[in-house]
Amino acid sequence: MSKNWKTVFNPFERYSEKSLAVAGIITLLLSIILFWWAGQTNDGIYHVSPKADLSLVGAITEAVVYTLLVCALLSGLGKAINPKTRIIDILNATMIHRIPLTLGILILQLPFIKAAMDKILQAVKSNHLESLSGTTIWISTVVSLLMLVFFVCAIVLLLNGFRTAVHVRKAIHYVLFAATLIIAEVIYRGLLYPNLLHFLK
Amino acid sequence: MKLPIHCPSCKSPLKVSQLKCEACSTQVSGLYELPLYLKLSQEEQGFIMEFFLASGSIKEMARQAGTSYPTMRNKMDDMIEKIKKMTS
Repeated sequence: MSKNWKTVFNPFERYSEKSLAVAGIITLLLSIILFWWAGQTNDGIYHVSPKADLSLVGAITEAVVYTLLVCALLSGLGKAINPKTRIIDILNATMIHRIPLTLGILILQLPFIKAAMDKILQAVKSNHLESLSGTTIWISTVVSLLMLVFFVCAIVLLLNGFRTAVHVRKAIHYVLFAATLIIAEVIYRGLLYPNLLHFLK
Repeated sequence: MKLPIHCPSCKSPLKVSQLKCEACSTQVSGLYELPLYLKLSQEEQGFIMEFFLASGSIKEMARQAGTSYPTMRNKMDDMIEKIKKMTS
């Protein structure tokens, strides 16, 4: 892999924590504004649903809560593996890994993609999937694959950030990393998000 | 000229068997261990020297090398582990 591509997928090896923090905070702010503008809610750390009445405070709270949750759990794991792990490095990785996901949400707002998604939603609701045109199905397939690529990129970014911050060397640490992300998703989706909904009403 | 530290034939660590005075040509023969520092690769010796010249600041070393702090600290941790193994 060329040095440039290596930097794209692991900026944590090269850039200082200050530069990464600035990029991470900008990503977080853009993500908040985008979710609020697009009326999308993070009902899971890696799951998005439409929510037209999402307030700006709601979008901010969601973003802060899932960022802190992932950061806290990964920092705990990182400190357990290597006590020299710094929370700032994990926090930067947590914020920066959302760049591909934010880009994905932005792409979903393109009018022709949005129209195709609306058609699919309506067809599902009315139970008339056969009414969908070939173009709509093609668009949804390409968009789904693209979202999958963005998701993989995000996880690769987070893994590289975690690996650099913690100096991961054993296979078991990668397994624990995956388990931590699953636990974070379960906590957020099952415990925190329902309470957030109640709190923000 | 680079001091060889491993046997080019079998890769085992080399030892010093002869020292010579350039002024009077007196020669000392024996079988001496190389100092720990000289057992490290040139890159590792350079790393230690850079660390010393940066007043022991990993952050400063990272800045000079154009890498991040954790990358430099990880490199140092690998070296510490290697030196600990060599001395144990």
